[in-house]
Amino acid sequence: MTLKTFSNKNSTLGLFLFTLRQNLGLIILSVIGMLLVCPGYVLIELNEYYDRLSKEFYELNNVLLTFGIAACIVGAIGVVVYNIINFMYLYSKKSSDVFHAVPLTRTELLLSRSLAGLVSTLIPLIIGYISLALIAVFTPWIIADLEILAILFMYNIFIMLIAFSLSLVFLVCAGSVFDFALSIGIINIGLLLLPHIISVFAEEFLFGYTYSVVENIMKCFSPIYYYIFTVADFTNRASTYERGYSLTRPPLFNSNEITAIIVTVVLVALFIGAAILLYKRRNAEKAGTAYAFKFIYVISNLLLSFEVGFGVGVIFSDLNLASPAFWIFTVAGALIASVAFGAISERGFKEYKKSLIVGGVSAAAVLLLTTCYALDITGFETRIPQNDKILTVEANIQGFTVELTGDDVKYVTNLHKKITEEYDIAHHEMQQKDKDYHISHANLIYKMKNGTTIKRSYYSFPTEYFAEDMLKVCKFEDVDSVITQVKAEKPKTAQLSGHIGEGAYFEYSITRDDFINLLEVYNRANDKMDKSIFTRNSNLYIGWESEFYGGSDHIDGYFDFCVGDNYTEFFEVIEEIMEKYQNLVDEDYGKYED
Amino acid sequence: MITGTNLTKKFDEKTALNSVNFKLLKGSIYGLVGSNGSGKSTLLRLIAGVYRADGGSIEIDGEDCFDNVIAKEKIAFLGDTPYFLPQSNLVEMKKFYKSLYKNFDEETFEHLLTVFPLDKTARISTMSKGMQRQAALILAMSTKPEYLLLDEAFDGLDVVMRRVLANIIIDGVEKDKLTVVIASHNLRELEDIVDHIILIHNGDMLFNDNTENIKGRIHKIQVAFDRVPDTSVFDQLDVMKIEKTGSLLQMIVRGDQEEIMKYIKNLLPVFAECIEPSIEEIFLYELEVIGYDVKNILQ
Repeated sequence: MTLKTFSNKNSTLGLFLFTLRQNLGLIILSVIGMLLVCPGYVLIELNEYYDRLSKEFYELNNVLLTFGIAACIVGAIGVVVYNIINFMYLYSKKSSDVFHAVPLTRTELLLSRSLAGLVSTLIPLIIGYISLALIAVFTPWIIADLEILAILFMYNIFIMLIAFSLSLVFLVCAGSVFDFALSIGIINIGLLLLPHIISVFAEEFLFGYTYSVVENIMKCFSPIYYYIFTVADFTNRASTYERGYSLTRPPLFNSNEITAIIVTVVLVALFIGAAILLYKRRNAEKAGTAYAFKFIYVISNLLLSFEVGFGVGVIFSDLNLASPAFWIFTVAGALIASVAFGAISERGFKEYKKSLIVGGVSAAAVLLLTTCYALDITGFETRIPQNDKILTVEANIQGFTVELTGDDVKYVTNLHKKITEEYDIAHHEMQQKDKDYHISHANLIYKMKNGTTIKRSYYSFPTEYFAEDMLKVCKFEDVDSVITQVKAEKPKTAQLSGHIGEGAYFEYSITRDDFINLLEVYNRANDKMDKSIFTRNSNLYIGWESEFYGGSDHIDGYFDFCVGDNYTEFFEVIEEIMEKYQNLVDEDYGKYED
Repeated sequence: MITGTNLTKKFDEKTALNSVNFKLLKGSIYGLVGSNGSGKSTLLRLIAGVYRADGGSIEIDGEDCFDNVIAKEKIAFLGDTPYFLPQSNLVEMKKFYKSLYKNFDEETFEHLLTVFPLDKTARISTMSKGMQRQAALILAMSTKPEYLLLDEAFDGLDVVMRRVLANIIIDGVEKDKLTVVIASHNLRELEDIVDHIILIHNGDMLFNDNTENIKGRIHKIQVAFDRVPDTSVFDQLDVMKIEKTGSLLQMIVRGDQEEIMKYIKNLLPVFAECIEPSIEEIFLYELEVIGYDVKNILQ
């Protein structure tokens, strides 16, 4: 952009103000709606609470979070709706003639109309946030964290800006409102589904692939998912539950927020830049056609036919991605979806040949993906992280969760390597010995020194065959830190539950001292663990509530005990507890019967 | 001045304008005529900066037309179907144009409201087609343009309003050196006000000349003979069309009138007369030469 682009500041400002005035009716309606909700409804609820609950302190943070999430959704929808209204002129030859003949450059036209819509959306939202802030500050019996409100406002702005700039790109590329809605819907939903599809393939064909990584992929593919995830993460951190239960109260504004700022700035600049460039190239005569730029049609069609082809293939092959039925129905589904989409966009079947080509490309992409994963051309299955490049590794093996660093990581990588190399051999050997052999599972999360994370999951490998290596990993289960934490938090109560062997399920509230004693006995027993720990038929859990000063009055914790045959002392203590607390229960029961 | 150099515009496979070159002088009224789909509206939209050329260039007073504020400030473009903001009246449309055109003149607006008696508070969508066109004209003229581009200017207007419009245009040209380009099929009306004619057919500009020169270049000759000679005697002349009715020949001939009459008189006709053709006739003859005529279409 140069000075020449904005040579006509008065006209640009004039159109901006004119558009704002055009939107005045909607702005007034939305301001009234906002005032009814906040402060209106909020004040009514607070007033009822104040009268009802004898002037106790009221925790407003959850209200702030609810308002923030709702405002994000409403703001995103609002800004897109305004953009559609303000750019309807693109889709009719008559209006296109008038708007493109006015003495404004395309950039000025785009920015003045769109920014008017953005401001129109912001006005009621700002009023809402200011109202909440004033309520929080000036009501003495309310506890509210204004930092939460400020960060929510920041996220609100980010989400609005992303919706604003992304919708601009699609509006400029489309030739009608219908095709705008179709393309933005297909591409955004398609980007949400695509990582899942890729993960389904990977999970089917790649040994060790874990579906949980799909979340990270989605964050990279889809701006919508990234912001949903980031805001959900923030609201979870900021919730009364988390903040109240955490002794250390981690800061609300952390690296996630800084990342969000950077991502937003980059994406918004990218989308607005793209919208401006595309608009300058857009042919006004495309008004009323499906798309002003064919690439949007091609991308939408490719995505749709890829995903529909995959879906049809999966359904008709009964989830057997390696079968010929999957291949046949994938191709058919992709072609049909592509021709159908082409017919909708072109308002007829005259371009069916081009649609068939696009559908063919999608089908080929599905089949190529299948082949690539089946052949593991990237060497995923055999790739074991190098020990010196691992920062920490968290291993969950049959319920044991351990975190290793330094030289100890080698125990995990050794087990990992053995599983990948000898999985089939192990099964073959065990089948010769025992038809009903025990199987285990393991989830490994490597945090690398370069900041990346590698995850692997292995299911159904013979326990007996890998037990020695598994034991070397599991001896590092860190019960000491649990004991330290519990001693620091001073639990008021602890709930012990579970079953041992074929015994009945039990559940008792036990004292802090019994709880700590149990953990210390368990810690000693761990030194004697053997492979029976992986074939146990016992499930024992302990949950506890701790005191917390300031805010909420309890913190929840949880720990599960993995016990094998050598935990004799531990089982004795469990039986003592069961006897002690069963007697107490019986006594109480008798009391109530009387 | 508006200058087009090798101007080309395509719509998918079809070439709407094929490398046309032209100059439109200031203070003139141009009639832009041509067959349906010849490229008239396309040319107007290229000048107005609505369309972007696919080849060549188009400039207004040395400024490129497309995406150029300096050029667009000088232009008022009125399409064949006027557009107004939804649910708007003339007052609101006035505000719209006033926010964009720094030269927008309220006095002109109010004056034109007396010339075209419209209710400025009435919703424009409720007005008739002719009244909507009047409303569009009021707004266009109020922006005080230097170049006024009108696509089917007279369409929908009654006889009186057509005359009014013509007077306004002529007045604008005389007082403000306004340059007007009117695309129209109504050649009879155009003939009364334009001083230049541009003829376009299938994307090619067949000619761009003032009406005097055009009329001076093409003549309708009626000549009668005792014995009608073979038409080959007229091969020396640039005959566009020749019709024989008994002993009367009617010819359309391109060239200098005096020389043509001198040649014909040498053939000793009983009667020879030169009639000035109308613009409409010239249009028909020129297109007939290139094969676009009634007989060819009806075959």
